[in-house]
Parts: sequence; C-alpha cells; structure tokens
Amino acid sequence: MNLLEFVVSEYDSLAALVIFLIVVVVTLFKWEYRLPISIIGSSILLMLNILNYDDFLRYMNFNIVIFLLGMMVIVGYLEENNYFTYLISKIIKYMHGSGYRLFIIMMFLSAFFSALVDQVTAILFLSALSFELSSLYETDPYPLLIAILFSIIVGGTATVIGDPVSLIIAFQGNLTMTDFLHWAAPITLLTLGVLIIYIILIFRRHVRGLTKSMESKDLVSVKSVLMSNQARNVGFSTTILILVLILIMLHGYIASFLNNYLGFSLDSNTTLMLAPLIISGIVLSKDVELGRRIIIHRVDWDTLLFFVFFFIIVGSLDKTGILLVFRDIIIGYSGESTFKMFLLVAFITGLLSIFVANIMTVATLAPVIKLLYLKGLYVFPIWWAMLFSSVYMGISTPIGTTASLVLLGLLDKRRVERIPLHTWMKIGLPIAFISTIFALFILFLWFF
Amino acid sequence: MYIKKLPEIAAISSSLFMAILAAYILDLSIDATVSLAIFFLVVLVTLLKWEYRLAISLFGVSILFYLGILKFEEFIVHTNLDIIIFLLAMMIIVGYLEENNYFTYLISKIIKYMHGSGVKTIALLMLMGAFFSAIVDEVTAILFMIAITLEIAAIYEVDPYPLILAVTFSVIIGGTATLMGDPVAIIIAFEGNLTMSEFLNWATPITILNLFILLAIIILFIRRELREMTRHMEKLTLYEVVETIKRDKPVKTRLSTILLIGVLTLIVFHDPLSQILSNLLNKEVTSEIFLIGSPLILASILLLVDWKSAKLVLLHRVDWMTLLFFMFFFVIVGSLEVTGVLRKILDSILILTGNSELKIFLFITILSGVLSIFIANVMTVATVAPLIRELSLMGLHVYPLWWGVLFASVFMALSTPVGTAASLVMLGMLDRHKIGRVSFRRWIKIGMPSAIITTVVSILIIFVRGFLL
Repeated sequence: MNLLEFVVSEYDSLAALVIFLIVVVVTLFKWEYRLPISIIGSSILLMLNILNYDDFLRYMNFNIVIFLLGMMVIVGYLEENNYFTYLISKIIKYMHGSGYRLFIIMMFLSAFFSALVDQVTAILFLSALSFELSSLYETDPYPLLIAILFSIIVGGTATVIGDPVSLIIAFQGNLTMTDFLHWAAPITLLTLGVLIIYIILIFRRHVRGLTKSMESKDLVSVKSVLMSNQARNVGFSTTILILVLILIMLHGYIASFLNNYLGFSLDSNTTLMLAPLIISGIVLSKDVELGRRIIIHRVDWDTLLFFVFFFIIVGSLDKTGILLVFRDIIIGYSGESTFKMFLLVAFITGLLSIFVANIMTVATLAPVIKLLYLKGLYVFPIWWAMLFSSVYMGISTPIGTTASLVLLGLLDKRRVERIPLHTWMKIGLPIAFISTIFALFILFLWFF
Repeated sequence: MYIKKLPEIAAISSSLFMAILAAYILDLSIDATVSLAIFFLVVLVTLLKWEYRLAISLFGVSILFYLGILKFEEFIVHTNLDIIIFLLAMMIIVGYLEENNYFTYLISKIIKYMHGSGVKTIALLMLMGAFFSAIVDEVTAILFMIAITLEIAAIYEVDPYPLILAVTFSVIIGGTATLMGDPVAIIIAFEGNLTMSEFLNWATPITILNLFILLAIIILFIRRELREMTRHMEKLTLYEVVETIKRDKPVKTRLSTILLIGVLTLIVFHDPLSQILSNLLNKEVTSEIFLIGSPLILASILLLVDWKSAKLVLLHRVDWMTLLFFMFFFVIVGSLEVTGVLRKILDSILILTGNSELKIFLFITILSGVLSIFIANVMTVATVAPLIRELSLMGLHVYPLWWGVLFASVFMALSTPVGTAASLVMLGMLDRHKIGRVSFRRWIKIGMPSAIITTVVSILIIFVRGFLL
C-alpha cells in the first residue's frame, strides 16, 4: 500500500509518523535536545492512547537498556580505578621511537578496546591519552585523534558490546556473540587493516614529523605521563572484566545448556542481558560508596533514557502499521530476493546514517527487518549488511556515530577547536565509502 | 575476617532457613522456595546494611533469571515502570524547583510569623512540613525542612533534636494526604487504581486530623524545650532573626511557580481530565496513563526550555539509586507472585480469617503496621499490595484495606529510624552536618507513642467509614 494513502486513512498512524519525524528532525539540528523531545513525543503518544502501557513495556527494549546499564556500571568501576590507563602504561614502551609504530599500535588498541568494552569508553580514555602524547611530542593532535576515532568506530562492529548499534542488531535479530565473532569480527579486522593503511597514507607527512620529534624525548618522560594516575584494585578489576567477557562470549551456550540439561526456557537474549547485570551486582557490593558514585556519575542516564523513549516512538510506528508499510515497500522493490533486499537495506541504512545518528537509523530499521523475518524471509545476511553500512557510513559526518559526538563534546570541554565539517568530510567520506564497500563486498562473497 | 562477615552469613543462613520452613508449612514447589529465599535474603540484607540494597537486589534478580524462575516478559511487567516513571518525572520537576531555591524562598515568606513563641514556631514548622510533603514528596520536603530547622535551632540556641524529630514526623504524616506525597502512597495509588480525588476524600481528612494529634503529642513531650526557646526568643528582635538566616538567592521564581501549579493541577484533576480527553479523542485514555503522562510531559517541556540546568537536575537530583532499587525489588516481589507464593499465603490468610472481610482488613493492616516497624515501609507495601490486588480479583471488598495499609505502614514507621525513606534521608543529613545522630532511645520515646496513637485513630476512622457506614 502507498504510505501516503495509508497515513491519510488513519489518524493514529498520521500522528505517530508526524511525531517520529519531528523527533528525528529536532535531533538532527539540536542533538542535545534529543532526550526532551523524545520524552515529549512519547508522552503525547501515551496521552493520545496511540500506545497504551503494555505497548510501552513491549517496545522499550528493556533488555538493551539493562544491558547497557550493567556495562556502564562495570566499565565505570574500571575507569574509577584507572584500570585502562594502567593497561596502556604496559604497552606504551612499544610505541616510542617511530611515528608509524605509534599510529599502528594506537589504532589497534582503539579497535581492540572498542570491541572489548564499548566505543564511548574507548574514546574517553584514548582521546585523553592522544592529547597527552601529542603535547608531549609537541605535534598537532588532530591526525592522531581522527585516527583513533575512526578505528574505534570500526572496531565496535566486531562484538555485540562494541557499539550500541551492534547491541540493537544482536537483540532484535537474536544474534549471539558467537555469530558476531564468526561473521563480524573477521570483516572488522580486514577493514581495520585497510583503514590503517589509508590513514597512514594520508597523514604520512605528519607521521614522519612525529618520528623526528620523538628522537628528542626519552622513554622515561613518556612513561611519566601515564604514571600520574595510580591504578587501584587491579586484580579485582581484571577478574570482573574477564568474568563479564566470558559470560557475554558464552551467553548462547549458557542459555542452551540451561535449557537442555535443566529444562529451563531461557532465550539467548536474556542470558546476554544478565551477563553484565549479575557482575554489576558484584561490583556494587564490593565498594558501596564507590558504587553510589558510579551510579550517579558514570552511568550515562540521559543516553539510557533517550534510548527508552526513542524505542517507544519507533514502537508507535510498529503499532500503527507504518513499519508494515515500510516492509511492503522493501518487498515491493526487491521481490523477496534476499540479494536485492541486501543491497536495498545496505543502501538505505548507509544513506540515512550520513544524515541521522546511526543508532537512530538502526533503531528504526531493525524492527522492519524483524518483520521481514517474521514473514518467513531469509534475512540473516541483511542484519550484517545493516550493521556495517550504518556504522561505517556513520564515519562520514560528525553526527553519524555516538563516538564522534562524544569526541566533539570532549573537544568543547577542553576548549580546543572543533574539527571543521569540511575537513571531517574530506577525510571521513572517502574512508566511509571505502570501508563500507569493502565490508559489503566481503559479505557478498561470503553469502552469495 | 569471618567475624566481620557474620551478619551476612547470618542473613543468608536465616533466609534459607525461613524459606525452607515456609516451604514446609505452605507446601511450596522448589521454584517458589528459591524465590522466597531470595526475597528473605534481600529483605534481611537491607535490614542489616541499607547501603547494600541495590547490589543485593540486582544480584537476586540475576539469580532468579539464571534459575529460569523469571522470564523476561514477566520481568518487565513486574518492574512497575508506571511507578518508576512517575517518580522519575516528579524528581526532575521537584529537583528543578530545588535547584532554583524555590522552597527556601517560600519558607522565607513565612519565617517572620514564627518569632515570639516556641509553640508557634513548632506548629508552623510542622504544618509547613506536612504541607510540602503532601504537595511535592516527603524526601524533598525533609531536605529543606531539616535545613531550615537546624538554622532556627542554632539561632535560638536550643537543642535541635526535638525540633528535628517533630518536623520529620510531620513530614512523614503529611505524605499520606496525597498520592504523590509518599512512595508508599504512589504504590498504593497505582496498584489499587486509586485517583487523586479518592485520596482527597479518604486520606486527606485523616491526615489532617492526625497531624493535629501529633502536634498535641509533640507539644506535650517537648514543652520544656519550647518554653526555653520562647525565653531565648525574647533576646532577639525579628529583624535580627530574618537577617541571620542565610538564604540562597532564588532564581526563576515565576517559572517555578507556574511549573508547580501546573503539575499540581494536572495531578489533582487527572481523573476528570482523562475523561475529557477520552471524550475528545473518542477512545479510552485511562486515568492512570494520564497520571503518568502529566508530570512526564511537564518534565520534558522543562528539559526542553531550560536544558542546561535541567540536565544537571537529571544527573544529580534524580535519585537513580532509589529508582533502580525500587524497580528490582518490585521484580523480586513479582517473582513471589509468579511462583505462586503469594497465592499460597493468600489462601492461608483466607483460612485463618474465615473469609470475613473485616478480619482480613484487621489482619493485613496490623501485619503491615508491625512489619513497617522493622523494615522500610516501601518494602512492606510493595509486598502487601500484590496480595490485596489478588484479593480484589477474587471479588472481595478490599477498598478500605488500601487505606488501612497506607496509614498503618506509614504511621507505624514513625516508631523507628528505619521505617521510612524520609527518616533515612534525615539521618544522612545529620551525618553530613556532623551533629551526631538522634539517639535510638530518644526516637522511640517520642516515636512509639505517636506511631501507635495515630495508627489506631486512623484505622478506627477507616473501619467506621468502610464497614459501618
């Protein structure tokens, strides 16, 4: 059915669509107003009875929110104990001596931490480190910042936890961590390789200059930069990080184990949500006073609330049937062929992610893919196409991914100049296109 | 090392023991026994170490999940997000008013009437405490009321403890007058589908009556301190007092007033307004949805209009710890419902009381009153409320019971410092001001008689209105 006809025929769907568009447009122009506008949107939807309380519960994707909450508590604990700077201080001696080595190691580290904890945390402590290194070697900080930012974004696709986008895709598509390690991680690694080569090529003059200025510094003074923050509770921090990673890695197996041997009926999404939940319980009971501080300062409440209320607004599109119309439009163009759908979805998500934050793109389109799945179509490759094209195309603009927005906020806080939009586009757009097409090409080879 | 862990070990073993005992008596399944053991564990740990409440309930919920007792769908239903979101939105609005020093501004208008007599001071302080507690919430009210009480005690050079206790008690009592006054009232309103007009009709008169009873008791108990205060007052002129009390400058007073009046109007008239909206839209908008929606929409407008300071409110004034604890504790109580423990308890209550509505009323009211002496009354009510809902689904007349539980659990909680959220907040404040805690004996001496008298009076009134008229 034509979207326009459908919307005009029912007031509820018209209202839902209008609210959705208003929210998207407002976040586009004023990202900092994302939370109030989405709360207003969902209150209106509730008050107009387009959604009732049960829908509210159903659409808010509470498992994603609880998962993020638990991870934020755990990672916040590690950060409070300076655990990540401690880890890096172990590696820093390998970076000294050559600009190439520094760039390569930093980019690998970025992708690694982004995949292991999450991209927002990774950008927080790695950008701080980049600033310190750049001022130590007296060079322009921007090339290194851009390099680590892009590797963090790329690295996030390797695991379920790396990027909120992969989290949504994992929960909506019922994909396990094993699926991610099998399908997403290799592509991420290859793309990272391409990214590193490309970045070093465009910044080659800067990297050479960096090597030169390194010669005037000795290793001891470099190390002293990181020693200013003393790490505490290293043993406990390592234990809980490893524990939560193991629980996340094995969540699919844990669910099937409990179901087969003990006769429970857990789904893998629930065990995924539980992994950080139970560990955060342990973390909070380890040190109550610190726990209170973590809950107040380290948990990013406005992001969590924004997710809840934005999911609800997308839910209203589902309830009023607009997502069904979207689904039929996709089917109309691709005629149930998985390959055509693959291309179409990759194209749409990629295009939207240039303009809208990729998390919003995926939150809106993932339920559509789920509807395709419920119709009995084979959508497994489409989830991955969506993941890669939304995340990698998000590189092209500063508003595309969460990590970029966090970095911009940090630059403001340090009162240094923002990266101008055209410089960003000049570097980001080619990288976005190269990595997206590269990743999609590998997916294409793999599946078709 | 192990000696230090003794309370925890005792908590775990006694909760296991109690659960097994209950399982034997009530003939429970394994799932039910496990969920009951976790419930006891959480309650005991919060009793021994209140600051561990969030950690232990997160832990309890995770265990329930891993053992397959709780499913995700049941989890989200039992989080009672309606209550959580209502609290969240109210916290944003009230936090914003506080950030603007709005309440100290209001109080400063009244302070000049207090000068001259100790009795007048205490009476005005208590009336204000109860009033603010009813219109915003008890936790906020206690924050600024205690601050002002400490200042007054310092100026007139009197022992602050009697004043602090008096104000705390009046704040706690005032919270029962409206549905947003006390977390307990919010839970009862949402679980029992009670509207604000029902609160104004049933609860408010009883609250006001008991406030005056409390005032009489307090004046009786601390008459010596009040007389001393009157003597000290004569040495100071009103001008000196007003000048000494330091005040943070209020900002954005007009916006704050509009906001407060707006949210109060929407909440007070939520029932008729939802009817009007239903008629306009030609479909049903429940009064409950309207009740959640009213503070939510105002809070979001506030965030939109004044994002810079409202964002700070969101991060610092919203008590995320408490919200999370409520949510997960609700889920743990929910697991008792899912596994059928509540059902079994209900059956035994029915057998015990012989299906007589009056006996059920007395039994549950007394039970929740007694429990609230020992554990936080929010936890008592969160546990008892699903029981009453079940009873009403069985077709019993439970309407007076909601009010009985409200008053018994709140008023009996006056007797000990652990009973209500407001008392705990007050103790925290005293710690922060480094003036030492109220001694337990002193608390009980005034608290126990006040608790018993007010509870008995209110239950008698509800009994007469609910069963005899």
